[in-house]
Amino acid sequence: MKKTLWLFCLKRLASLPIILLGVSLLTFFLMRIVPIEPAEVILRLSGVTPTTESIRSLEKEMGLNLPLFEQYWLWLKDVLSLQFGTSFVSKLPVAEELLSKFPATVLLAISSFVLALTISVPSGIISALYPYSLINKFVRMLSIISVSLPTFWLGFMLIYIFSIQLNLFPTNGTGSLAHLILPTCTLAIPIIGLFTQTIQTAVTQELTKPYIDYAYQRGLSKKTIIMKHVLKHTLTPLLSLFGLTLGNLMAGAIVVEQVFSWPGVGRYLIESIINRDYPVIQSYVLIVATLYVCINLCTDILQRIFDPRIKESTYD
Amino acid sequence: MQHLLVLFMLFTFIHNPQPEKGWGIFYLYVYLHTLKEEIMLKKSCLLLVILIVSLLAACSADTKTDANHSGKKTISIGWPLDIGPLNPHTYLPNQMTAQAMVYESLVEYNDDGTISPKLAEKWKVSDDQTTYTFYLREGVKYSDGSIFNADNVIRNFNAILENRKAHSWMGMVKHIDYVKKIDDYTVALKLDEPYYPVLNELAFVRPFRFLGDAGFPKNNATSKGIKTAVGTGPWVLKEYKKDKYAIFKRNDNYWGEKPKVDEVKIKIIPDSESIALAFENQELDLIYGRGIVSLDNYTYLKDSGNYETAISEPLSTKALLFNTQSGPLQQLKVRQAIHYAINKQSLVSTVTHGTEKVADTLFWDAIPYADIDLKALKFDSKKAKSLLNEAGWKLENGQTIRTKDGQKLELDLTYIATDAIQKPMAEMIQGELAKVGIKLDIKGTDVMVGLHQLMNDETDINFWRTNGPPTDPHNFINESAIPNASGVYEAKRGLAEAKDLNKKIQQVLVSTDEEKRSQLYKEILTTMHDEALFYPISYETNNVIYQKSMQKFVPRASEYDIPYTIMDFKK
Repeated sequence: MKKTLWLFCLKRLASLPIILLGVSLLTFFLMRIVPIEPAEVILRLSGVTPTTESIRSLEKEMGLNLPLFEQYWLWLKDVLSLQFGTSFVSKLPVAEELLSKFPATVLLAISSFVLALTISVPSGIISALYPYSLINKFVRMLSIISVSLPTFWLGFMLIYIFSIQLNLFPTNGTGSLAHLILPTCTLAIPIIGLFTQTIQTAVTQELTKPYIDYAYQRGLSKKTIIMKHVLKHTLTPLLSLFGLTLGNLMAGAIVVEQVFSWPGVGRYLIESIINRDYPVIQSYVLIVATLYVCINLCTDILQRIFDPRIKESTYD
Repeated sequence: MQHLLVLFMLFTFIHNPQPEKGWGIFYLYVYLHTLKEEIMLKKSCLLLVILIVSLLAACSADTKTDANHSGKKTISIGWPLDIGPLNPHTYLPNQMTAQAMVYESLVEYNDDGTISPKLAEKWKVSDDQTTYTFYLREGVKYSDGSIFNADNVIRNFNAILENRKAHSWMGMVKHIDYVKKIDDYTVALKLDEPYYPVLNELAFVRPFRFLGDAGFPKNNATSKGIKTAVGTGPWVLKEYKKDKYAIFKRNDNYWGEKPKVDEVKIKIIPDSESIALAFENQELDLIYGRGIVSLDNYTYLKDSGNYETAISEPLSTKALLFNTQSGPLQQLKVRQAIHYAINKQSLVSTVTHGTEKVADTLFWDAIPYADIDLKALKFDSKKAKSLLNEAGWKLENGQTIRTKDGQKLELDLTYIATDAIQKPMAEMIQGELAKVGIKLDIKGTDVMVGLHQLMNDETDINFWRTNGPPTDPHNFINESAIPNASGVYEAKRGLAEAKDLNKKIQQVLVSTDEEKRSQLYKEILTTMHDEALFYPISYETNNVIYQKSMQKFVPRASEYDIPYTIMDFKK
């Protein structure tokens, strides 16, 4: 049993380099289709009118005068040495810059993910257990509202209410627990809505299955049935949704980071796109792709551990 | 007992929304104490919630502005981008506002267009106008205590000129032959031929500013980076957290008038709405600059009556640039008709809420050589229609768009999609032109794309702005004669006078005779005005909002030089 799991992991990991090579090729060449040259962008954004000499000299400095494949090869070498190239703007290794920004994003991602789970799991189960109650209607209404709120609007409203009116939290920045609360809530609220709805549907379906009746007849308490059986059966298929959401959050909450001046990768990406900082954009895409593959792999493994039926049907 | 404690906690929480950090520990103690006596789980859960809320409140102690907090007077300001590595000789990601705080130039450009001494006490220009001799101010010290002298000036100049190509946008750089030390406090700058705007360009925030010896890296290659930010300016970088904030403290060695406050804290807030909210929450003392917050927000904060506001003299001009290379805009009458068709007064006052002044000419009067008598083309839709008729664009019965030889009078206008002012302006202009039978297609694009389309003759009209002092008007003129620079070279290609204009532009920059130069400027600017190459819209300003705790001050008409030295809090 364990052997098959290992084999599965190995197979998946073996496909990782091919996926990453494809991603790197795609981002590298797609970036180059955009007609405007980074050297010119950097000069113009510096408030400098580009001259042919200054563009050429900057291009030489950034290695953009080399043939495309050579540029790609040089960058790939940098990636393999885990430097990820040099940023056009800051002239620092991209790895260094991204590494300094990932912790902030990870903190925000994990805190909002945990918050979303702690609220949505109980609320989803409760509203499924009492299908015709007021609680059910209330939870459903709230989750529909929270899913449809635009993030930037929600962020500004939270700032307006909790910072300006109630004066509880700072409007932006980092540094303390208080700084984390509003961005976390802004990110978590739409996810709470999504998770609650999904969990509720899954639990409702599970409750109609014959084994529930059987369990009741065996004399198990409602608590045991829910906690030991229903929860396990409903949450396992949802692991991939959770994984995907966590991946999304890790990729950087661009809007939230912008609104709350949160110095994470999302904000860095926006700046880099404006500056046409190719090495940063390429490396970012590559790292996020890796992250997705790893998270997917983890959720698949977890699913296999929780639900041994899966592995018999696939990858064997 | 527990209930009393809960009540006490709630009471302290409500009455003290910004408790000291010690409160958190106190609450924890109270909570643990309660837990001991409490048996029922539910109640302890309730208490846990209250504890969390109280702890959060304890964390949020420092949300307000730092002014006078630790006995230090600190001005907090919000800025959308990180200040960068504070290298005086390079560009992005260095922010000009931060460079200008630490480093100084030989001469200074004033709001009225004159030049005054700075690190050079005086200067002399040779008769042939190719040698500038600067007499340096004695007794100037860098923030690390080292002496500012001729050797240091030469070292800086050489480091800058090592990277000549990167600075080639500055006309002077191409003309510098060498820089020579004459004595400890005198240097000579030799040009290969006369180039009159030398002083204006030396006054610019980069690259001709001076780094202390301690800041130079190996081989003096400042273009690759500097060791440490040592300048002669009024401020020294004290604390820096990339993408979060930068704190500058007063330079105690500063030779000039010392700043009135102890520190300036620049908080990095990328979103303009967030800057406005942080200001409203008193986390910032002021908002300063052009386009830092939207004009809607500016008006909202101003109208609240809780803050002081000020507007600087004009800095730069917002305009439309017409592509005369092909299409209907080749005709002067069509370009003029557009001038007459738009109610500029209402356009500017509606979109900018009166913060910007209507521009009738491309340059504001205080810009050197721009104070010339030019006739403004005022709003007159009848005249617009008759001009279009004269140009052969007729409005057929039942039609809304004019035609000529079966071709519709349809034009493209490109604006920056994310610009809060350009978009509404584009929409209003579209409406105004529809009234006279011109169909305007407006397209929102990336910052760079519009200019490129104009240069490649792919769009008809593009939003355009002047650089502002101290490089106007000579830099504008210079760019107008170079392809792929500002778009003006390409846009004016269709003019009959294009060649003549280019010739005059070459002459004006190397002219040695002040009178002749004024005359050439007058001719160039008049031709451009008469040919209606631009549609000047408004003069952009620095908009300032500050808390009432601050003393009144006058904002400068400079985009990068924020006058922190004159700012102070009320006593």
